[in-house]
Order: sequence, then C-alpha cells, then structure tokens
Amino acid sequence: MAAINIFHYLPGNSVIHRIDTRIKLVCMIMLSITTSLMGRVWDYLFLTIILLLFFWLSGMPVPRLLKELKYFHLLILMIIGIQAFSLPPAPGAFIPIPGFTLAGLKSGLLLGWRLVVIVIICLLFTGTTQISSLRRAVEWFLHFIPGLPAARIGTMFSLTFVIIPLIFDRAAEISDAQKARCVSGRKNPWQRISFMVFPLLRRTFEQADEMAMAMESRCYSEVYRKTAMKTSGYDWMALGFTALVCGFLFLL
Amino acid sequence: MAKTSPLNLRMTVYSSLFTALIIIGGYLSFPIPMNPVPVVLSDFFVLLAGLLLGASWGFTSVAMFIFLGALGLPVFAGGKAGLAVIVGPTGGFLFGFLAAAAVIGWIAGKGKISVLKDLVASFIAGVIVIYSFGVIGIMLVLKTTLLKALAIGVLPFLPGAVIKVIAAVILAQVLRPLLQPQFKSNANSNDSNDNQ
Repeated sequence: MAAINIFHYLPGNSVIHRIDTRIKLVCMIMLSITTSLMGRVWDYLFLTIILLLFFWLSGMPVPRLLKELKYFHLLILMIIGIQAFSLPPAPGAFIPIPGFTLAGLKSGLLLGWRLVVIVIICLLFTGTTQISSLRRAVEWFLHFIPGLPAARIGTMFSLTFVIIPLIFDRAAEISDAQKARCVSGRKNPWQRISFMVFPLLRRTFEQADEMAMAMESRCYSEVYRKTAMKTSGYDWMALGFTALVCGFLFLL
Repeated sequence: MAKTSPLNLRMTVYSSLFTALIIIGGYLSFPIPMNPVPVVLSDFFVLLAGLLLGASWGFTSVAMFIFLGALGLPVFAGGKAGLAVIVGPTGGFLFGFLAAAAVIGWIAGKGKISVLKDLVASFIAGVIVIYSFGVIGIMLVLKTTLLKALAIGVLPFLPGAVIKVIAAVILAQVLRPLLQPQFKSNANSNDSNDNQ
C-alpha cells in the first residue's frame, strides 16, 4: 500500500463532515485567502489554534496524518533553509555562518508556518468531503454563469484533487523501489532525476488511462441525476464563525 | 442519459492530470535572492501539456490551474493563492502559461509530428511567449523600465528555461506513444460509429 494517504476522504460523521459542501468550500476559500494575506506571528498562532480545534472536531487521526506528512516536513525544512540563506544581512549584524541571516530565518519560518496552515486547511476540507459532493458543489456555483460547461469543470476540479495524492503515492513507491535497488546512491544528479521522472510520469499516465477506462465502463456522463443539496442553520453558523475568524484577523 | 464520448472523457482526465502536475510543479519552487519571481517547474509541465494534449486541452489544463488559484486554493508557486497573485508581479507569467499552452499545442499539432517542430514550438512558447507576458506583467505592476523588468524576470531564468524546453521535448517523445494509440483507436471507433 502506498505510504501517503493524506488528502484522501476519511469517512466519518463528525460536525465538520456534516457541513454542506458548498459552505465548506466557501469557508476553505475564505481561510486560504486570509492565510495568504497574513504576515504576523500572532495571526498564524490564532489561526493555527482555531484550525486545530476544527481538526479535533473532525475526529481525523492526527498521529497517522502527521506520520504521512513526512514529505511535507522535508519540503518545509528545505524552504526554511533556502530562505535563511537568501536575504541580505542587516548592517552591523555579524553571524559566523556565511550567507545566513536572522531576517531570512524569520521569513523562512513564517513561510513554512504558512504552508503548514494551508496543508491543515486542505486536509480538513479533503478529509471530510466526498469527491462526488465536491463536484456537485462546484457545479452548483458555476451554473449561475451562463455558457460555462459547469459539469465538465466540476469533474476536472474533483479529478485534480484525486490525482494530486496519486502522484505523491507513485513518487513514494518509485523512491522506495529505487532505494531497494541502490539507485539513490548514484552520484550523477541527472541520472537520479531521469530515473525518477520517467517512470513517475509513465506510471501516472497509465493510471490516468485506467481512471478514464473505469469512468467509461461505469457509463460516466456529464448529464446525471443530481442530488438536492440542502443547508441547515448549523451550516450558516459554521460560515458565520469562519467569517468572524477571518474578519478578526483582517481587522487586528 | 447522454454519455460523454470516450475521447472527451480521456482528454478530461489527462487535462486534470496536467493541472495536478502544474500545481505540484509550483510547489517545487526556489526563491532567488532579491527577486520577486521564484524558479518553478510549473512552466515545464505547461510546455508538456501543450505538446501532448494540443492547443485546446493544454489551454484548458492551465485555465483550470488559474481558476483553482483564483478561488483561493493554494496552487500557485510556493503555496500562494488568490486574485492577489494573479494581479501581482508574477501574474503576467500565469497569463503567459495560458498563451504558451495554446501556442505550443497549435504549432506542434499542425501537420506531421517531428522533434524539430516540437523544439521550435517549445522554444517559442516556453521562452518567448511566457517571458514576454511575464515582463509586461512586471512592468505594469512594479512600474519599472523594460531593462529592469528583463533583469528581474528573464535573465536569471533563461538558462533554466532552455533546459526545461529541451527536457519537455525529450519527455514528450517518450510519453507521446503512451497517449497516441488510445486517441487514434478512439477516433477510429468514433468514425466507424458515425459511418454506421
């Protein structure tokens, strides 16, 4: 079994699972935009606490997800490292490591934290939302715009969410297979990259083809019987709370 | 119930696959000191989308990527999102991606497939189109001169862009046989159905 199962739907009946997908999508967009506009440590701290509260309410297995996020940990460490060495030093400041600056480290830590917050938002959304429900929600929003192929865009939207973790799954599998064959020990970086990229893209294309065949054999159609989507007072409360959090971060 | 044609369905899946690859390419971004434009792999997958999917589906893949980003999903370089990125200094490159996928697909899709044509199309789209849009974006947003915009948005990336163009053309030759037989057989079956 593949090592990474993050961004897959995790069945459940928590309060977060039960929120109407359209409302959940709007909440996720509001939180993502707020995250990309924030810049202070206190903003990140406040939003992280709120998101961890949502996470606890969703009932998702935190230790398992943390373990499966090991590739993101590496990415975040790499970003912090690159940022720490990419800013010019402040006048008068002396640090014995060449190229390293405290401002760069601070900027890297904030950027890394932002990525963590974004990953938590995406995990909360994808882990508690079925792909079919996501497709219907996107279609519902797009049907207001005349001339747009809402059904196709909805399908592409949900397929993209399905394919991203699949690519990571394949990359992890190929990496493990290469480690077993001692390919990672080769010194030539071009050879190592080509040994990774070619099989990864080849396998991903084959899998996309299998996916299309599976959809075809199940008589996939862009015209289908739509299930009614209903919102309750509880959904509006969730939207109101998210708007309050985002507004608080914008105003303070 | 009307069934979606097999060719359209396959292209929808492949188009989504390229949207996903462009997003992942954006996450593999490396900032350059004192420069607002990071080095990303998104443009490499944009070139590959144009070469393998053609003009309209390549364009659709990139349009979907920008649509997701505009919605606020963290799909742009370094996990950025929102309309602020589209109208920011790097926004011109995003519009360049759209134009590049269409141009490369249009040139590479005309007549017989050849490596030379792929290379010319990739060079025109990957270097000239993307960077022209990028430079215009930087000039408009940062209100700089053409020379300064070229220094910020083109010169540091030119060697990387050439490597990406060559790599995309090589990969397209390897991956095209995987895609073509199915498209041909689907097209043939559609033709025979039409004849009946």
